[in-house]
Amino acid sequence: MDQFQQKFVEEALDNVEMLEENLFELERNMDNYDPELIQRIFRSMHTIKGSGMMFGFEDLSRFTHNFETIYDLIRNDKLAVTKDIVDLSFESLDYIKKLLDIGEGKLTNPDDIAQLNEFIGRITKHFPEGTTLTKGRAEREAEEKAKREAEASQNGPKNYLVTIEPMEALLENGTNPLYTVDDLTALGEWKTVAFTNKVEAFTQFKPLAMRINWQVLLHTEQDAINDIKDNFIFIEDECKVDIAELPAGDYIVTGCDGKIDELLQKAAESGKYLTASDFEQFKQEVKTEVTPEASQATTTTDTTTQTTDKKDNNVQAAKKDEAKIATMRVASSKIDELVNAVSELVTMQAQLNLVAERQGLPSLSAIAEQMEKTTRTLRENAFSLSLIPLGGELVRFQRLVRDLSNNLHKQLEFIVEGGEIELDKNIIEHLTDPLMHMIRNSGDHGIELPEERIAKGKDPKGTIKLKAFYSGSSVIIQLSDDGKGMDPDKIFKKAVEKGLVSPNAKLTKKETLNLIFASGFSTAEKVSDVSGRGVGMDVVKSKIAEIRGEVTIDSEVDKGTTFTLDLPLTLSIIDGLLTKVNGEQFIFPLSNIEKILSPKEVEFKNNGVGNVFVYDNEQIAYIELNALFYSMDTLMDTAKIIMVRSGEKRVGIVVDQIVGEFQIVVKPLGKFLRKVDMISGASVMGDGSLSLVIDPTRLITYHAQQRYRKDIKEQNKEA
Amino acid sequence: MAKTVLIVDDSESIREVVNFTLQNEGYEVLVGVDGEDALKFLDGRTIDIVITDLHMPNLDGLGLIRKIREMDSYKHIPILFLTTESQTEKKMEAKEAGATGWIIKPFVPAKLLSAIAKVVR
Repeated sequence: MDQFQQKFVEEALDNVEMLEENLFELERNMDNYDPELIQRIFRSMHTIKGSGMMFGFEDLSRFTHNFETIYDLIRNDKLAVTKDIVDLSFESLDYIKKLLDIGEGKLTNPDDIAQLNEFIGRITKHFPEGTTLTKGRAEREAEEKAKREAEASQNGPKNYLVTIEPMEALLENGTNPLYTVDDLTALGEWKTVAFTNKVEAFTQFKPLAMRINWQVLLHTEQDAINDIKDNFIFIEDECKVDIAELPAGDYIVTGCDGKIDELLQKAAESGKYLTASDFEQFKQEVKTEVTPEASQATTTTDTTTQTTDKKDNNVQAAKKDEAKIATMRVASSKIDELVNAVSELVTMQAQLNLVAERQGLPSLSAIAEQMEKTTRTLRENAFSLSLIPLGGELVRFQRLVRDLSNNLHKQLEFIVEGGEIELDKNIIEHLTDPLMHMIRNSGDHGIELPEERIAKGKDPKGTIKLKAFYSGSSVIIQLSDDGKGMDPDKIFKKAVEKGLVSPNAKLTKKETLNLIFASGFSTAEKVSDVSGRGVGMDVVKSKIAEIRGEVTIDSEVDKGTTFTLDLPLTLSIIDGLLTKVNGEQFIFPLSNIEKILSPKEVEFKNNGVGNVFVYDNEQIAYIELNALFYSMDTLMDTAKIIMVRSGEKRVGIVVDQIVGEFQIVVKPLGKFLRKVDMISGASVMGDGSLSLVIDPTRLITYHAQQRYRKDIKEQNKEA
Repeated sequence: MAKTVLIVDDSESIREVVNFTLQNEGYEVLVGVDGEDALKFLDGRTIDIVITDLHMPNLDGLGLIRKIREMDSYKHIPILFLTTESQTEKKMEAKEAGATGWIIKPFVPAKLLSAIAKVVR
């Protein structure tokens, strides 16, 4: 695929997306749509068709042509919008996407071609009876060409006398009639005569008024009437053109040297046009051999012209506002490169700061400080470049909900709030699949069948709502439905059955609901073809965790379920707090940190379940990293407690020492360490040393799991 | 001297292919993404021909043609517009606005060049 085709495909996909949005609008307002909407749909298809032809996507073009005809019929009130038509349109869209996918634009497999033809048949079936099937352009051109060739082959050499009488205003729209005369003479042997008798005297000469007429005598090897007409295509309304076929004979090439020039010369002097009969007479005089049945076909093209009034004012007006290009397309790999380079720069910046500090040179420190500011701006800019609005993905979700409604015989409505919210493109890429899965779940398991909903006194139409908004340094996406909700008791029972939790465990409602994220848990009692393909909520959770996001759930029986996704704004560069544990460096993302406490401020105790400390009259569990990672005691002299929030809970993480705040570039850990998920990455510090980036949420989960396991082991021992 | 062509189209793929074809033929090419954007080139410099699409945001082809025809320096330059076969009415409208001719989409490079050759030499 060449670069143009690539561009075309990108653009066509944009158009398809627009089409899809417009089709949704049409579906919502099937009985009362805005005629402009049909125009928009038609235009999108038209662009796909037209450009498709140009870039070699002939099958696509042919298909879209038929698809487009439907909307042409609709906009001319010859066809009504029905559900069938809308369904077919959506299906056609998918097919267009498929056709865009084929590399060279042409179907080669006979099965595929059969499928295309079958699909086109299904579309044309909708055309009302008596609709003349407009032929594709290629077909028509081929026919025309064949017709011309057939005509040409029956005819031998021809003579034409073409009279061109331009309107006075011809020159004003940028036409040069000499080019037309020139092109005409390219068709064969020729003689021309210019009639200048209408040109005004030099003193009154108006250079822009077209006062010259021409006659062209043309001898061609075969019928050329269409070629001659083609020459006037741009100016047929601004010229009176008369094409007369002359009696057969050879006026120019042989037999009448010089004499023809005399004839033309005389005409020019007298200012009188030559006519076919002049040539008849001429022929008699020079006694050219001729065949008797000389035909005389005359074609006259004459249409009224409008002389447009040209206004000379406001010439400068157009110059004043210089428009700017509002947006431009950049390959996403280029943005990735930029972000990478900026990441390196951030690291080097940290080095520079360190060197400046060590050298103690005030001038160097000043530069380092300035540079830090600029680096920060650059970092923020580069980062904002990779942000794209969530809205781009929404059409896919909308489509999914639509298909779900049809397949499941449920009435589903999809509502979106905050589609303009922007997220890092890498995050959006990772987000689409989990969200699709969650929407599928909501439609399949959440929303009840219409009868069931009516019995419950609910609106038979179920709603799935996606709401996005900013919250601090993260983006929250809430996906809620007004379906049957989840029953915590059922979930608990099932989790116990599956051995995911001890039957004696006392869990809050939230903790119980969160069990659905445990691997091996699936609430679907039957596996339908929509959800339950073996992908459970645990996969959703881990996908979200991959982009350092968090997912929580809230559900009320018969009221509905809400999933809340808490996502970071960006992935690669974060503000972090550098700490030390047993001499090693660990970084906590600043966004996770709620407070930092000194152990001296709080009271530690054992509350029977585990070790906690009391702060704000709240018992807070804590994790000593030194104990967890190295089985060592915390260095209490310098120790600090970092308070982080994980869902509803606050947890303290005890480190040996806090070094300070840094901008850090998070690099992923190697393949072998991917499973260590409480470490989300590593970062090279200014002095070249390495530090590990802690994912506090995972750390807490890990810690909690260890405790559960310990509990279960102990219970088993007792039993 | 190389002729300067101003092309105006909101479709990037069309812009690219037209630009590529014309540059290959030795034309100087200026590119505007819509009528409004194209106006910035009409600052008195020599432009031998304008090729514009009709459907465009901000300022459409008809608007652009009318504006060009009001400018002293460009009053009589050839203007071709891009159109599709089915738009006979549009064709009339564009001609009335002052267009010199048109190029029917889809077109192959040869067709584009021959249409230009009809009005600029």
